[in-house]
Amino acid sequence: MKKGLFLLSAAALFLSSFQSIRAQDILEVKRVELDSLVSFIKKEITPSVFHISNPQDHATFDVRAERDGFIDATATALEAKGYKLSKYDKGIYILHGKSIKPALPAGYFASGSGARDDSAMLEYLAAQNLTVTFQNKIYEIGDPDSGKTGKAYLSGHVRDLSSGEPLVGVSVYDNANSYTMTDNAGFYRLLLPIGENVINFSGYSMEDARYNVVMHDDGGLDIVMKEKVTALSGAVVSADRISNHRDARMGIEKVHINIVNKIPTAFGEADVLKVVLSLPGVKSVGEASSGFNVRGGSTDQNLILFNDCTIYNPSHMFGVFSAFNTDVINDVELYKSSIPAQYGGRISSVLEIKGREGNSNKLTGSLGIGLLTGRFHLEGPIKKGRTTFIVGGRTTYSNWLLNLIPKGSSAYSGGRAGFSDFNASISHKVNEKNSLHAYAYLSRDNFSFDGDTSFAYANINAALRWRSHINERNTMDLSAGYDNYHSSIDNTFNEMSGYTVKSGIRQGFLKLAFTSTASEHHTFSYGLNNIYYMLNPGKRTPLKGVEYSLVKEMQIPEQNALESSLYFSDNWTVDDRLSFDMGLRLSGFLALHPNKFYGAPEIRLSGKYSFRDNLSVKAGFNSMTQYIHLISNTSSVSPMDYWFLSGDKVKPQQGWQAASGLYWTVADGKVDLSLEAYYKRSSNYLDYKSGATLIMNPNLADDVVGTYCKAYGIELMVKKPVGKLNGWVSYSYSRALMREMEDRGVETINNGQWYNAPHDRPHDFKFVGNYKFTHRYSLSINIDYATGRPVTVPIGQYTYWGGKRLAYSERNAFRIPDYFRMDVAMNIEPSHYLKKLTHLSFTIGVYNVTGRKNAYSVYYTTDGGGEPTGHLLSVFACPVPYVNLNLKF
Amino acid sequence: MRNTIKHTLLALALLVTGCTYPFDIEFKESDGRMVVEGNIIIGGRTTIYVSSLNDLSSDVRKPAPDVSVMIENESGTAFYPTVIGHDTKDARTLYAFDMEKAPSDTRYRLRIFNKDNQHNYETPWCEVQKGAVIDRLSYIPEPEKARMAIAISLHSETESYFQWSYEEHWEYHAPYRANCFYIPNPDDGIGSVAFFQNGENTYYCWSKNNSSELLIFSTEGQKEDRFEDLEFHLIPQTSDKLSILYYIEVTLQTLSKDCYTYLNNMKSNSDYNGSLFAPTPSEMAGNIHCTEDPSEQVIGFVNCSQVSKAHLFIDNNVTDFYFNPRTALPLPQELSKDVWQFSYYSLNMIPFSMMEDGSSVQWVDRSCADCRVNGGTKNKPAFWPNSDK
Repeated sequence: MKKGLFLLSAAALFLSSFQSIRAQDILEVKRVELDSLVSFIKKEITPSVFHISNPQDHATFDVRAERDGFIDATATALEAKGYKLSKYDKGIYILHGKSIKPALPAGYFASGSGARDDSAMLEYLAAQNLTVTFQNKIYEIGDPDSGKTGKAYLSGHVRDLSSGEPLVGVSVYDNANSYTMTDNAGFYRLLLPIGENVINFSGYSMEDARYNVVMHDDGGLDIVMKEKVTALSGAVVSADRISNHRDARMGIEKVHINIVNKIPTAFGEADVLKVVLSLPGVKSVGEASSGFNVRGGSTDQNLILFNDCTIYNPSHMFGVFSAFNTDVINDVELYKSSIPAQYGGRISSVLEIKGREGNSNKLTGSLGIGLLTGRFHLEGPIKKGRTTFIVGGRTTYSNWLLNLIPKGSSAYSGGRAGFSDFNASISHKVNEKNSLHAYAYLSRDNFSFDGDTSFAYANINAALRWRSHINERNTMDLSAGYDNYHSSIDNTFNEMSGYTVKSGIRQGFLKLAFTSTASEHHTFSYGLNNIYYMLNPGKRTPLKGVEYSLVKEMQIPEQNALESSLYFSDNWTVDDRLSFDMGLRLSGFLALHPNKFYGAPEIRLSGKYSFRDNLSVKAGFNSMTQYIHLISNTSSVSPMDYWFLSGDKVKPQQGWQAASGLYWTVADGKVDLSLEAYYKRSSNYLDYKSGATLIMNPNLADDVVGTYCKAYGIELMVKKPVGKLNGWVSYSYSRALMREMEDRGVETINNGQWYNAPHDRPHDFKFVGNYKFTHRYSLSINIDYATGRPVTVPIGQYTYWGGKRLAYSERNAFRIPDYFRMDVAMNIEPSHYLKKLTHLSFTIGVYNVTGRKNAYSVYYTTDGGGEPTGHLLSVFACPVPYVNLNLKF
Repeated sequence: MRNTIKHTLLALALLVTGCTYPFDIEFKESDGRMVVEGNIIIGGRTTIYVSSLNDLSSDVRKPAPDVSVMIENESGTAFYPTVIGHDTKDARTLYAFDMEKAPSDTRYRLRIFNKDNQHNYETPWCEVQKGAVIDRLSYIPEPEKARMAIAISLHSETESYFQWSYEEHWEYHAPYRANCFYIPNPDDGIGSVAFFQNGENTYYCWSKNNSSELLIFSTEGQKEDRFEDLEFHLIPQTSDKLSILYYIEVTLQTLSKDCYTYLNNMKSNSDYNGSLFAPTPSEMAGNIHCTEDPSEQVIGFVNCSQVSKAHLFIDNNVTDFYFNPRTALPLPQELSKDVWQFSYYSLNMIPFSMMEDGSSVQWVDRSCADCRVNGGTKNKPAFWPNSDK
């Protein structure tokens, strides 16, 4: 009881210390930044406050004074941080380092200048040598005579200054509580009070921008931002700080492609998925494994979207490379907790990869050469200002390298591994309000471990999207497309009995999404999604060219189903402290032949309360339903795994997650601290029965069992997005456990007790750091430590049919040794001579610089009946150096 | 640059196959659960082995449980072991049943009573799987891979799951043919050398081996229940198995689908290679159940079938495929009598050639003139077709 009282008192004390106090005649603000301080003065004392602050300066101020003396007290507080407050006419001006001159300079009239003059201000601005001087212009929005009161909408597109390309994910916010983020088309819509406003734009690797806007009515303002050339003090991920304290949603990780390109990877190929794996709460079963696990979820519980298309296998070369060409990608966003209502169909996370639209001003491109891969991309306008395109492709010459190994000289000489991918997109601006986009993506892989079995898989995706800004308050997105993932296995161990098995999934989709800003406090999102699945569980045919094959052709009946969902969500901003994001999604799934219907409501709820500008707490609850399953009996996703639709024998997966988080921006805004905790439960995740046959099994549903899953954990992250040294450090403690749902007696997995999921790795430490020596040279270091994953090891040996055999007991009861890896890369950026036709950049690095023999697995084998021996399998058991060249033109 | 390419090639190669290192785990002691091996063979001899599950990290074998075993059929006939033996090497007890005249049109089951824990165990009634026909045993020389493959072709009218095992015998010889042998004398330390008589020699030996790999195959998914030239045993071209005469006998059984699935899982578990796409091991329940405690786990699956056999000889005089890997041999040397005993015991040498008058004896390393050093014996199988002794 005493302990409870103590905690209650401590919590009250904690909360009270961060409140702004508004006593009867006393005004007080604590630890607020300049923008917030100005907002406060505008609200409490006078609206005529003008200021220009340094966007990189995150100094905070404490001011406490009576109302009448508050401005003077503010002046004193500002002076301590290098700012000057000046009163001129009826206005109050706050400038950094310089004061304006309230009196005319001596000899003014002799100089012949006009009667009204802002020369003092202009003098100051000139001294600042601001490169984007028009930011200091005051933009008038709407008709000054409209007589509108209250608030009005400002909307427009944000584009890159040099390429004209839309900038996605730029934070747009005022100095009070209005906040939004540009969408896939670089479009933003912000509700602002009538009158003077300052709006800020913060984007990844872009110079922060701010504009003085006087709102008279609804209106538009298109913005251009320029790339941050001098990233030494750049706000590389400054948008995170804004979203941490303004966005009610939580557990969202956003990584811009510029960061992806700097993180060292095996063979030096920039890799979207490897960066995702460096985020807290994201794990994989090991190096060179396809797929990833988010907060204890399995690999099939992640929805991976690339330009609206679903990617079923995001990896090349069984997980060594990701299937995405970073030249054509803008950014990557991972939703691991608050999943917006517009997304569904997976119960763990959504990874949204947004492609670029291409340069709308001129034809540009790049060529890249790595040790194993070559790539290119080309982009430019087809019709300047209206139509742009971007194409990119990659391939590997690994087979050529493998062929260098003399035949028969090594066990490796028989290996084959190859991949390629191709992207294309066209964007056409129909008019100011409508645009059309077309996307295409193709990737393929083939490889073999030995002479008898070869694997292949491919993704084929295409989509069309129509975006329409219906009016100032409403936006519509309509997209339709086709996704195809298929894999095949050729088994050639015996010519007459050899066979080819093909399986795959095709789906057509239609998505309609509306965003509507209803009022000052509410922004609605609503729409519907439809997916029609055509799943081929397996087709077996004789090997090509074998005339007298014994193999019987067989087709397991195709599974067809329609998944439809309706959703509605409201982003409710109660005030500048409190906001909510509430969503409801109704999903239905109709399996055909035999018909079976499932439906479920899904709740998406999250809320945020900001104690101060730099300290917020969030909490959320999500429930999700998933109608598609991946059935696997291997540790890593493989072409031998099969997608399977819910039906009369297999129920949909259902799960929920409750999470909360604390976000604190410290060190004058340079460091973001976050602490998130979560608890997840799900049911009907399919695990395989012992001895299950997955290939060409018409009764596959009988060889799998439903399991309950639970996962919980905490994630601590320290992110420093700015400065010469930037990056993040994270630690997470998490568990992921499974339990069979049915009691099958002696055959029940682990006797019906909870057992470790294959990706249960409790301790996880990650460091991603980049140090800029100069504008051109930077050093990146990546450190990854994690508890070893669980594996199943034998409990004994016995003799059976002439040889030694191994007996196994509990599934996943043993752990392989802990994982540790450090990678180092030196990035050499091109020079910034604008007139130069080509720009060459290098990356030189070493993957696994310590050469630690990290275990992918630990296993025992009798190798055909001999004495059991223990082995440790390591994929990258030595340092792997690499060089990567990229030529931009 | 060369190093970079070398590292890249190495890393790429690792991707294809991974890189393995020896590794040991601290294991708990096994629970010693009962292991039952063997199939009920109708029309032949049934052999059932009973043992206990042994620890993985210890060479000490747990004693076999003290059990009594019987086989019965639905017609009410009971079969009891005609021979009970002990395999001390693997700590197994063997129970052999004569089921030559057992009818095939009824169902059978195995029953075990464990005297140690007073538990009864039994299998479900199982139908007799019809036998399969071995169409051909053949050898396929594969000089490009420097090996000889043994292949089987078979068919069945009704069955789709097959298991076979083999027993192989081969004749080989030592590099040198000795005409004499040493007779040690422990009393004075100076032994004697005597000529071999009546064709006796240490030149020809016979060795044998049984299959240790689980050899199973399924024709599920094929148009017909047959397969042709399925290679199941590979002999290196340099193996002395191929040097003179090689013999292999294959015993084929058909399996029920459940038994095949069980053995396939056992094979997958025991040959697991830990690679990226290898199915993770997991234990299946067999078909031997404890009637007192259904949760008690017993390893093994007892199948009921008929068997067929086939054999094959490979004569190097016909194939001319054997490649002798030896490039050089130690030269014989003449030793004086006073060092014979020392050389025999301490230097592992034997006499190889003695002059007819006994005046000079050449000695060589034992491995050069005594074929038994390489694991063989002088026990020539009764069916061996040539006249070598």
